[in-house]
Amino acid sequence: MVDILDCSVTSTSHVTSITISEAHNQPSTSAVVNAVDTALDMGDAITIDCGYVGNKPQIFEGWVKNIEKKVPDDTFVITCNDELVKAQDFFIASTTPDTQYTARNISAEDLVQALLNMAQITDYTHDTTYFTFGITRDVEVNLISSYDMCKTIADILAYSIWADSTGTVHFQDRRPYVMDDDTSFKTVSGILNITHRVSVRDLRNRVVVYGAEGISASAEVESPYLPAGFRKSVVVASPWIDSQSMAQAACDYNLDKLNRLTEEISFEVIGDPDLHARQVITISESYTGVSGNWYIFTCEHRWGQGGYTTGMELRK
Amino acid sequence: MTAWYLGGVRITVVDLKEAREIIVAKLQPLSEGTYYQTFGNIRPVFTITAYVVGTADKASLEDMAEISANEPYTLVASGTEYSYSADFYVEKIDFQWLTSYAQSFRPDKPRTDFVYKAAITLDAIV
Repeated sequence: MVDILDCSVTSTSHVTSITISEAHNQPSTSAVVNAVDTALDMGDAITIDCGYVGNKPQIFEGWVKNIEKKVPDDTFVITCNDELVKAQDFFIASTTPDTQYTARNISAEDLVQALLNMAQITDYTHDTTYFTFGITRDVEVNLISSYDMCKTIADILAYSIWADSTGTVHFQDRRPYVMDDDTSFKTVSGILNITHRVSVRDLRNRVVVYGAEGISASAEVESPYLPAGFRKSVVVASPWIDSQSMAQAACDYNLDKLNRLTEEISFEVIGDPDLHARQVITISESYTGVSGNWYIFTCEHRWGQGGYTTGMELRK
Repeated sequence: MTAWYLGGVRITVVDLKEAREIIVAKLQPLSEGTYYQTFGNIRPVFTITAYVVGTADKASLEDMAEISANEPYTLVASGTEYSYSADFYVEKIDFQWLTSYAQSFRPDKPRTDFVYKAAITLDAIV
């Protein structure tokens, strides 16, 4: 089989390589483009279509963050991040201490939307959280980046926040493993190499939540993968948790998310531009016996003279 | 003999080779046949062997290989630009001084001028 590599990058020609890295636990997807010529400048919008002649979908949309010119080879290195980088860059600081953003009885998804809007992010989709902040006192937001605040809310709910390849920001109950109602996006073939491992690295069987003054909760459970009675703890601390029921819910959500063995696969396949982090894919591989549905925890597209390959870390 | 000019400098070509190459990545899955992915063509490389007469022409050719020049040159044979209208970057020139009592390549130059055998590598811009 012979495929002809092809790509197009906004206002850029003679592209020699593209690397796009995305991950479940990464604030924003990054893209690095090497090219002979570009008219891009700082802050310009950029889209990247990448793949093969006849199959070159949009794989990235974002903003130019850094441009290097290399001499003597006279080439450019363009570094970009996706839409969510605007939330990372937007630091919320009120004009005076008395005029900071406040909200009362606001759902988690609406609070996230308000924070994203501050960073000029409007293309937004979310799950319904049934989680309300500011019940007993105002939620006050100041001296924190929009992203950090959104991530704090996501962590309390065991949610995830990310931007997809078309720039839409998602705030959803997306756990870093295959969930019950997940369906497989596709069956992946063309595996070049594969490593399978199991570890307790990310396992936590005790969750402690510290909320506003006087509010705290904890939840714990025995793990079959740890010595009897042994606890690996994680703490969620936020002044925006202002009720006991909210604190206990945060404990229960996070214990459910974190009390599990990490079963991982690192592998590399023939480049597939349709694959992205947070998808669920099916693999069947006779060498290690790995099969079934797996969650794409990290995904890196590497396109260039060495060919086009997609490297991934999958979790069960 | 056909009159050749590289960037306006007269040379006497005795040998010319053209090399073309496609960049191909070969990827080998664990349980399938080999995948071939083509990235593009490396621009044609021309290797010329030619005689050069006189130190002035030699110096002019050497200047073409200076990085500060960084400009393409035409290769003209008998008044016609050689090879699909391409211009060339001069990548490398090697000169070998030849023993000669009286040069006859260039009747327009003194018979006592030095004669050099030059190996010239040109990158075509296409």
